[in-house]
Amino acid sequence: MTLHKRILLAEDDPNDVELTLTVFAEFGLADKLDVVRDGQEALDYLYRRGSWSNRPDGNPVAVLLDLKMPRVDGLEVLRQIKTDPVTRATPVIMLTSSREERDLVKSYCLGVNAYVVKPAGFQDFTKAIREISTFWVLVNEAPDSGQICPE
Amino acid sequence: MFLGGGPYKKTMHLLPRGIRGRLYLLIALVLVPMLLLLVLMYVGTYQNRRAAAIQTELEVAQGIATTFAAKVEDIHRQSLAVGDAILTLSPYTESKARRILAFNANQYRVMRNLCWVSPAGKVMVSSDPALVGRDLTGKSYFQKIRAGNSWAVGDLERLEQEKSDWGFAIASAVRTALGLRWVVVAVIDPTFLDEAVFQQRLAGGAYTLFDNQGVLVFRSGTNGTQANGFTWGERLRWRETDALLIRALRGDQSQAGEVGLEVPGGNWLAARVPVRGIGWIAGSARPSEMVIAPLRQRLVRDAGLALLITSGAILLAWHLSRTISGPILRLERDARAMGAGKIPRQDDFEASTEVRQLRQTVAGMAGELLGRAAALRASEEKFRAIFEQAGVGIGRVNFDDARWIDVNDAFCAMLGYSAEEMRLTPWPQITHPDDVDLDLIPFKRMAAGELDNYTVEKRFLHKKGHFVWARLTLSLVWDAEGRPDYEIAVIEDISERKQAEEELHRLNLELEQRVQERTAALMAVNQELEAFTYTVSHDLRAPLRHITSFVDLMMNRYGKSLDETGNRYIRIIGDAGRRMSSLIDDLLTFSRIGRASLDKRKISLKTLVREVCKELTYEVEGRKIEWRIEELPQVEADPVLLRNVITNLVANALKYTRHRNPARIEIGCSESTDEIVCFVKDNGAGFDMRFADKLFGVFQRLHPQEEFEGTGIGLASVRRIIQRHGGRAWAEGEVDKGATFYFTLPREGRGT
Repeated sequence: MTLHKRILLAEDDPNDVELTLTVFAEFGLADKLDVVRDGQEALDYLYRRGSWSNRPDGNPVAVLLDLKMPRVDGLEVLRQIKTDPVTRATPVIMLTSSREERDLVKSYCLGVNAYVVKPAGFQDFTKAIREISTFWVLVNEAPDSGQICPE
Repeated sequence: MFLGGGPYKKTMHLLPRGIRGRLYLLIALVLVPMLLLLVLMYVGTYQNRRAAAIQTELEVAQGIATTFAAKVEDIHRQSLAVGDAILTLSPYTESKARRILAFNANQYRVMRNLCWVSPAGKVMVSSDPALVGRDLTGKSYFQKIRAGNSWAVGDLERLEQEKSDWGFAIASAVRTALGLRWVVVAVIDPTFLDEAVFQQRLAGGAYTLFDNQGVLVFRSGTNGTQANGFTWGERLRWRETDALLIRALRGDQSQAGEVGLEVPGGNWLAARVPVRGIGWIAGSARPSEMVIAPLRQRLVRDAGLALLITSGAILLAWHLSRTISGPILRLERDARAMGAGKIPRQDDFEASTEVRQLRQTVAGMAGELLGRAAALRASEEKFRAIFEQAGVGIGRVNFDDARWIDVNDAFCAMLGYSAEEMRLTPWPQITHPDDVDLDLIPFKRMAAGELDNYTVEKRFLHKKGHFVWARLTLSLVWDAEGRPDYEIAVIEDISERKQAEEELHRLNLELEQRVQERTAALMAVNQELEAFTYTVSHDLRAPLRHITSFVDLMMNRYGKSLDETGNRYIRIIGDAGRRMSSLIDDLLTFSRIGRASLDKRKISLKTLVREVCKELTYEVEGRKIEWRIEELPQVEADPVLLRNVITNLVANALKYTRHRNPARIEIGCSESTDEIVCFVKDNGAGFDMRFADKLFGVFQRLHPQEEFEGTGIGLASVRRIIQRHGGRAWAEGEVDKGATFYFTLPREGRGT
């Protein structure tokens, strides 16, 4: 059963949220985006807990994770997603301000699907988001939501 | 020596010790047997002579006995002839008979008278008329005639009392068929027997004749003197004193030997021989003196000679001893003098060649010995001086009881004991209990000869109770037989050093502590720095990105509604944001260079340079650039970081030659033993050498941003990377004439 192709964006910075939303809006994808403000909420969303307990069943087609977030950071969310067989198949894209080597390495070790440094200018950012969404949301075939990876 | 030691020594110790004594002994050994031989020879000769003399006397006595017997028989026959003549007288008259008798008696001087005796013993007729009528029956010879003897000899008797006339009778029986008719008695005067019987005896000797009773009848004269004037008493002395005579009388045998006589006196070699048929004894004698005298003369002569030889020998011995033992004695005195350290004079020494040579050798040896002794003394004094005055402690240790044999003042002062106290105390007793084994184990090994020397640092117990740190250097001294003798210890007071060491140790610990603290602090700072850069890279960039992004958005959406100035402002904000962003990026890169670990490997500098140049040339398409790249070596460096360096330098060169046509960029290298010096030279804008150092500072720029863009982090990165490789980086240049950037890399295997 396919989820209505939702994209989860976990981002604590409202400016970035706005920018991202702006970019998505330019592609007409803004309505597909579910935004959470920190890692904890991201997990709640994924496991339909708390304020997200009522959301429709199924995993998002992609998760855009900011690295630095209050409470639970992006790496921890990534770790949980990639260790849980239920969520493991979900593509996770890191969106971060800086290309810190150790963050990069850690992310890949945890099984991230893509790692993107947010460019300084809006044009570049737009370009980047477009490429990401095009690939992961439109091109890439994700497994059906609810499919559990065999151990 | 083939002789056993014991008996030989026993024999030897009987010998005189000195050469002189032995020489005399030698002489005595030769002379005494000689003298003994001489004496024996003399005794033998004397005995032979004596025996010969006695034999001679015996033979002479036998001759006398024979001669005397013949004479008696002669007289007997004469008497018988006289008797026949008287018997044949016819007529017989006494006067005729007397004439016959007298005639015959006168014929023989030895015959004193001749008597015609009747068988009854009565003198009938005689040549001496005074005798007529004498009765002879009492006479022994008459009785013998009566007993049937044809003749008989009577004993000596005094013929007339008043005269010293002596005589003896020879009686002859005149027998006819009718038996005994007459007896003729001849009286013999012994005084004249000499003429009748004997030859004159050789000088000194004497003949004697004794009758049956041992009474001296006749004795020949000695030395021509008349010896018959003996009194009766004297005549009797023989049979009392002459042992030979007594034996001859008793045993009727010949006797010979030496006899001491009273009457003529002295010792005589004599023989006594019985006269056969008569019973008388014939004797011969000469004084022993006569035999001994010539012997004695020879003895005296030979003894004199022997004495002479002995004296000569002794003299010779004395001389020899003087020339042999004298110099030896003197040599001995000299040797003693040498022992006392004096070298005797070489002159006035008279001795045999050997002894002189010996003395020279000894003197030479003594000289050398004295020299050595002096050297030894000097060395000993030196050692003494070192021992006594040394600043360090010195002592000698006995292996048996671990006591000090002697110690010097410095050592005593070190421990506060007197030398005497030190000597009484085995060293373990004045050693810190914890340190005893440290010294005792090697000490025992040294005592066993297994260890020649060792060094130990230990604490001694000072007399006042505190401990003194000392460093001991111990050496083994062997004795002459190759056994461990004693130990020499050199003791250094190292209390101060130990204190310094402890202080140093403490300081080291402190330093280490501080280093750890600093390291910890540094690590903390580093972590903070890292956290800081991390924060910067995330949190500082986010607002910048927002600025630039929203400025872009604003330009896109509202640019048209803004006037020229508004648009310019918006652009400036965007540029500033972007510039800030790149500054932060560079700064983070630079910070990363300082922290990243080096991954050194061998790389070709030439390949690297070519790649970088090729890469960068794309960015400056259209410009005329003269590249000049020299031969470049292999280097050992982190490829990523070195690429950063080369990129920075070449990019710089391209940047600052922007206004040159053609631009010239030269890249080269020179090698020294220690390092490789590389340079990148351009003909660009150059710089003022006064600010050469500023070039390499972070965010330091010598040119305005409008003219040459850049953050001013590139050269700082270059210097940091080169420094991390152990090299140097510097620049030379002149305004408008170009610049040369140098960097060095240590050669392989050198530097850090």
